[in-house]
Amino acid sequence: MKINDYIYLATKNVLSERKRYMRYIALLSISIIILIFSLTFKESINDYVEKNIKNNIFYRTIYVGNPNFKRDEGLIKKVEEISHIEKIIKQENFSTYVNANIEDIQQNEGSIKLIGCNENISPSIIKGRYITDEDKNVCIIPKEFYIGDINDKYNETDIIDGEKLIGKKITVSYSMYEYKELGPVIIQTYTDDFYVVGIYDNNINMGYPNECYVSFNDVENINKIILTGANIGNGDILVIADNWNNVDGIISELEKQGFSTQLYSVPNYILIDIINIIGITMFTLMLILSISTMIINSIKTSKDREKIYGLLKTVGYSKKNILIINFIENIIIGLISFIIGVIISLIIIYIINNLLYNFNFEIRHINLKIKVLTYLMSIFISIFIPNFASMVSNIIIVKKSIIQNKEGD
Amino acid sequence: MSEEINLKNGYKIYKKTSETIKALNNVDLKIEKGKFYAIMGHSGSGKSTLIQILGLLDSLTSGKLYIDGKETSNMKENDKTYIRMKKIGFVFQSFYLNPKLKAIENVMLPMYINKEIKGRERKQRAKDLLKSFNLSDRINHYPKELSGGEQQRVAIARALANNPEYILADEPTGNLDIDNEKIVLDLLKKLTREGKTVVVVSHNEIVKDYADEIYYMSNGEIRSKI
Ligand SMILES: Nc1ncnc2c1ncn2[C@@H]1O[C@H](COP(=O)(O)OP(=O)(O)OP(=O)(O)O)[C@@H](O)[C@H]1O
Ligand SMILES: [Mg+2]
Repeated sequence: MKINDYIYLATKNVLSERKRYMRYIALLSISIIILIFSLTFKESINDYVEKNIKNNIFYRTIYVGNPNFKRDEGLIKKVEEISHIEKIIKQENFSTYVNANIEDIQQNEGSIKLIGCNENISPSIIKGRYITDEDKNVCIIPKEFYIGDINDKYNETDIIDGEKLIGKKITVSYSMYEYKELGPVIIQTYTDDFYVVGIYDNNINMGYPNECYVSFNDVENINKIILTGANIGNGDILVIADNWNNVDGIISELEKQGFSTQLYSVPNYILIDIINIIGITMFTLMLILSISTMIINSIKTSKDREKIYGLLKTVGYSKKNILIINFIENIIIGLISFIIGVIISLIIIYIINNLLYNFNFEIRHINLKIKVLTYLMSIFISIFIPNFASMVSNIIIVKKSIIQNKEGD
Repeated sequence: MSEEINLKNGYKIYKKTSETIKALNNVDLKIEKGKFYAIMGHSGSGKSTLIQILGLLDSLTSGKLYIDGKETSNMKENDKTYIRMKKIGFVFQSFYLNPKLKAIENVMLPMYINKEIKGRERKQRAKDLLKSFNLSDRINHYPKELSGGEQQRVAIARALANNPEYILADEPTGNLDIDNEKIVLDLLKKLTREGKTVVVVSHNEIVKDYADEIYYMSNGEIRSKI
C-alpha cells in the first residue's frame, strides 16, 4: 500500500468518525494549550531570572546599616573582609538626580537618574560599550529613553530611541545649595556633558526609561556638589554582590556580624513557584483526563472498530496495514489538536503579554515566548497520546481472528 | 498448477470445557473452476465454518487445504492475507459493509491493497462494477440509504473488486426477500458464466436450482447429492 493511500483512508476514517474525534481533538488541544502555557511560563520566567535578576544591580545590592542607626565610619572597613563583594559604596553615592538636555532634541528637558556602574556592575549592553572605572563623562542610556519624571505618566511619543543617541552628548545640570531656614537655596549651578557610549534594554533590565548609568566617580563628584552642606544620612552603605547567587551568603555573613541588611529589590519567587506548580498540576490533570477519556472511549467503541478491522481483514488488509492506518488517523488527530492548541496559545500569549506590559511590577518585564523545544514537546505529546490511548485495544483487536473481529466479541 | 480449492481430511474442532464440537468432521471437498457450488444444511451443521476455512478466514484444526495447488495451513498470516486479497471475494449474510463509507468507497476499499490496480483506475473500476449490478444511481449512497438487496449487490461488487477467482458467499440471500433473492442468485450465476467460481452456503432450497454441484452438510460431515 502506498503512503498516500494510507493517508487517504485514514483521513476518510477520521472524517467519518468526526463526532468521536472532535471530542479527542478538543481534549488534546486543551492539554496542548496547558502544556504550552506551563512550559512557556516556566521558560520565560527562567529567562527573565537569567537575564534580569542575575544581571540586575538592584537584585545584587544590599543595604547595610548599624542596627540602631548609629553612625559608624568604620563600617566599610569591616564589610570589606567579606568575600564575593564586588563593590562597597556609600548609600548617597549609588545614584543621583540631575536635569538633562539634549541639544538636537529641544523639547526634552527634565530630570534623569544617574546610577554608578562599571564593567562588572552594569545592565547588559545591547549596543555600544561598557563603562569602566577609568571612564569620565560618558554614560549608558536605556534603549527607550525618556527625559523627565517617571512618576508623571509619560507619553509613548516622548520616548527617544536611545540607539540614535550613541556618540551624542547629553548635557546635565545640577546645583549647589545653601540650606536656609525656609529650605535650600541654589547658590551655583554646574553643567557637564556626558557622551552616550552604550545602550541597555530597559525592558529586560527592569530599568525605568530615565535611568542612565555613569561611572561611580562621576556620581560621587556630582553628589559632592549637590550634597554640600546637607546632612547626608547616617553613613549607611550599599554592598553589591559579584553575583546574584552570592547575595544570600553575603547577607547571612553581614547579619552574623550584627549589621542590619535589606535587599534593594527582592525578586518575587513565590509567584514564580506558584505559576510553575499550577502549570504542571494542570497539565498533569489534563493529561490524565485526556488519556483516560480516550482509552475509555476507544474501549467503548472497540466493538465498532473491531468490525471495521474484521472487514478490512476479510478483504485482504494485513494487521500491519490496519495498524498503520490507525497510526496515521492518530497523527492526523494529533496534528489538528497541535495546530489548534498552538494558535489558541499564541492568541492568549499575545493578550497576556499586553496585559503584563501594563503592570507596574517587575512581572511587566516577563515576555512570554513559546520556545522551539516547547513546540517539539507539544507535537510529540499530541501524537503520542492518541496512539497510546488506542494502542491497547488495537493490539487486542488486531491479534484476534477475523471471525472474532467480525462478530465483534 | 491446478486451479482449484481442495480440502482434504478437514477437521475443525471447538473444545469447550464440557464438550468437544466437531464443526468439521473429516471433510473432503474439491472446488473446481467456473462452477456454481451449493452447500446446503441445517443450522449448526458447519456450513459457515467450512466456507470460512475455504476462504482462509479461519484455519483447520487438522487436515490440508490447497488453494491453486498451494498448501495453506502452514502459511504465514501475511501470505494468507495476500491470497485472500488476490483470489477470494467474500459475501456475507449481513452484507458487512462499512456503514461510514459510500457504496463506491466500499467497493474501492479492497483495491487499495492491490498493487495491480492503479490509483486512478480504482474509481472507474468500482463504478463499472456497480453499474453492471444496476447500481449506477446508487454509487454515492451510504449503506443505510440502500435496501437489503442493494446492499448485498454492493457487497458482491466489493467481493469482485480485486477480480478474484473464487466468490464465497455465506447465506447471501438470508436477509433478502424473494425478489432480491432471485436478483442476487442470478447475478452470482452470471459470474460463473464469466469464468468465476462461486460457492454459496445456504439452507435455502432455491439455491439448488442455480448450482452445478450440490453438497449437504450435517453434524460437520459433508456428502454430495447423488
Ligand atoms: N467459535 C466457536 N466456538 C465454539 N463452537 C463454535 C464456534 N463457531 C461455531 N461453533 C459451532 O460449530 C458448529 C457449526 O457452526 P456453523 O456456524 O458452521 O454452522 P452453520 O451451518 O453455519 O449454521 P447456520 O446455518 O445457523 O449459520 C455449531 O455447532 C456451532 O455451535
Ligand atoms: Mg452459518
